[in-house]
Amino acid sequence: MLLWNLIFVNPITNALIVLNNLVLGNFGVAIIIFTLVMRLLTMPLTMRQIRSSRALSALQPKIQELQKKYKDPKRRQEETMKFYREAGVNPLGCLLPMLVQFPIWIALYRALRITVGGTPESFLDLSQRLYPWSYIEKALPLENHFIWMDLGQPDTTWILALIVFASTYVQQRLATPPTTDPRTQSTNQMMLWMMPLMFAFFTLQVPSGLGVYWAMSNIVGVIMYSFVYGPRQINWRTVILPPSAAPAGQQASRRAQPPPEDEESAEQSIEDALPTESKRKKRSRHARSRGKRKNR
Amino acid sequence: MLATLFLATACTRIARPEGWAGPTLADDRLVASIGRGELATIDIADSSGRVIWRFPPKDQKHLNGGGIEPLALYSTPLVADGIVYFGAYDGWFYALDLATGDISWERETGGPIVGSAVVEDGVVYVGSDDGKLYALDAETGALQWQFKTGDAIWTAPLLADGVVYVASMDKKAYALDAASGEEIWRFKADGGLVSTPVLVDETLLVGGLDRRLRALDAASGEEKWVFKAGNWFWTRPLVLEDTVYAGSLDGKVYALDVKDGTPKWEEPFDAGEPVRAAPLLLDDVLLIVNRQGSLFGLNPQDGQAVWGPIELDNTILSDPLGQEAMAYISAQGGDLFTVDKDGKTALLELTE
Repeated sequence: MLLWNLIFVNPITNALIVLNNLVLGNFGVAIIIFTLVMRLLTMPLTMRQIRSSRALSALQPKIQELQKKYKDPKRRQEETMKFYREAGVNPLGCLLPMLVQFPIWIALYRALRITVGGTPESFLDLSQRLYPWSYIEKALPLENHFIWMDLGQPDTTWILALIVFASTYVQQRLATPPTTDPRTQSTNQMMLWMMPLMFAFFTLQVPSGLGVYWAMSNIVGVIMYSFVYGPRQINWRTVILPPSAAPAGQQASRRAQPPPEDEESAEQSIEDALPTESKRKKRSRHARSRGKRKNR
Repeated sequence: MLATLFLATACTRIARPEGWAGPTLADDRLVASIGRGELATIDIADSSGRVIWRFPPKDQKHLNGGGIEPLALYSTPLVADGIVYFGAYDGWFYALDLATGDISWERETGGPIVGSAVVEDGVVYVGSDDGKLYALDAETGALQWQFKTGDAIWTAPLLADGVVYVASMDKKAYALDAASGEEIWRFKADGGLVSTPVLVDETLLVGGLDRRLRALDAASGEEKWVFKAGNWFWTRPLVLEDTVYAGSLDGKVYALDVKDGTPKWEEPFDAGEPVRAAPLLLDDVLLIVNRQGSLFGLNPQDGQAVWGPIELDNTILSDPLGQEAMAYISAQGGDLFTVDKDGKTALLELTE
């Protein structure tokens, strides 16, 4: 616990107070800037996640083929995973940025509980976590109010919970890799609603400062997706509206990459979707096989 | 992962006020917090620990009909003329009949009440988290005047010679005319002021979040000396003759010359954990209590431990109350302990 505080909670607590000073004592703005900094630091992971999701989208026709070809579930799974490996795509790559952010959430939650918790006990706890810098001492006590919220208390107006719900939903829609597997589809469908609902529920329970972090983090995530896909490539109407029980191929097409109809263009799409390194390896394999055929 | 997040959220939620009100003596009765947001009067005449009354009793309503939920008590009760005065974290200030526990009068402030009250010449003075110092008629609760500071007041005011001194989280200490509430002077520190001021001769002592204990000229508010510790000064200092004893949240207790703030012990006493509870003299032993509930008896002359640590295994943040050679200590959660000058402790068993 001591190490956890030393590595995560205390630095975040002090960073928030320094940011609070830099933005003239507005703790809500300090949380927003902190969120932007965190998203910036985890941007390489996020971009990897987005590319991974995009590549998965492009690989769907081939996956469908594999599923038709192999009836045995074990073999089908093996071939699918083999295909993912060859394509250089990690289907779990989408989870990594979330996992990385998880300790930050918990530490931020602790930090907010201490900094703007408001009770004399939490304030006393704060005294044990501050770096001995007069720059930090001068900031205390912090201003808890931001727009309509008391950052140390849950937002009882439900406005923040609704913002968190909507932003989580949109980001979830953009982030969920399309799949042709009916079971995965069903899980995704459930998660599409569960995640926003759970985060909205959490927002009603935790200090609203954490809700501000979630909402801001989601909004930045959505902006990143729109930049990667290209704002015009995303059909926002279908992203925002609840998904219909459309076939997998159609679900996959809700975003930027419509699944190619013929095999050749599907291959081309896979090529396009693959990361540069995978393409190089693949071309090299093709060249080798062409060379072998020629030698024969 | 979601399940973990859910559990982490559900288990901790938002910070909950617990309270750290100290006990008060009124003849052979002890008025003390015996649980979160609960006050009781206890008969200590025959060591029976009989609870005479509890506040709030079940189904007790405010005089305006609303339900009473004090949330937590930080304000050490004050007893004067058969009335118990105290503020609660729900923002209400209560005046209860000492004999029965019935509400004589009550008044709502604009924020939680953390500091204790003082009473003099029929007027009760109490600060609130809304930043205001209220002067209320001790018999009726009618507002005499109020003074607005720039931030929360978490300290008890101090009254002397018609002047009321109050320290605020707005980093300022104020001297006000007790009759009218008009400002006489103000002093600005570098951090919020959280320790209840103490007056000795013409010197006002006040500690704060800037890790400093300051001595101010009581007449002008000018700084006489300043002493810097390793963390905040949140305890009410104790002055004995020409020495001021003050605990800090850095876990140390300092003995300083009241004239110039120079240390009087070779080394400050290391209590190991933050010290929020005020030091107390028990006969010739200086009682120190740290946050973890470790008790130490010190020689006030050199700061050497006479006895201790004695563990109460309870969080102690309230000021102990001394009566001759014995002290009463309120622990968070409601347990009450006694300790004598030799370090012998006992849990005060309560009976109905």
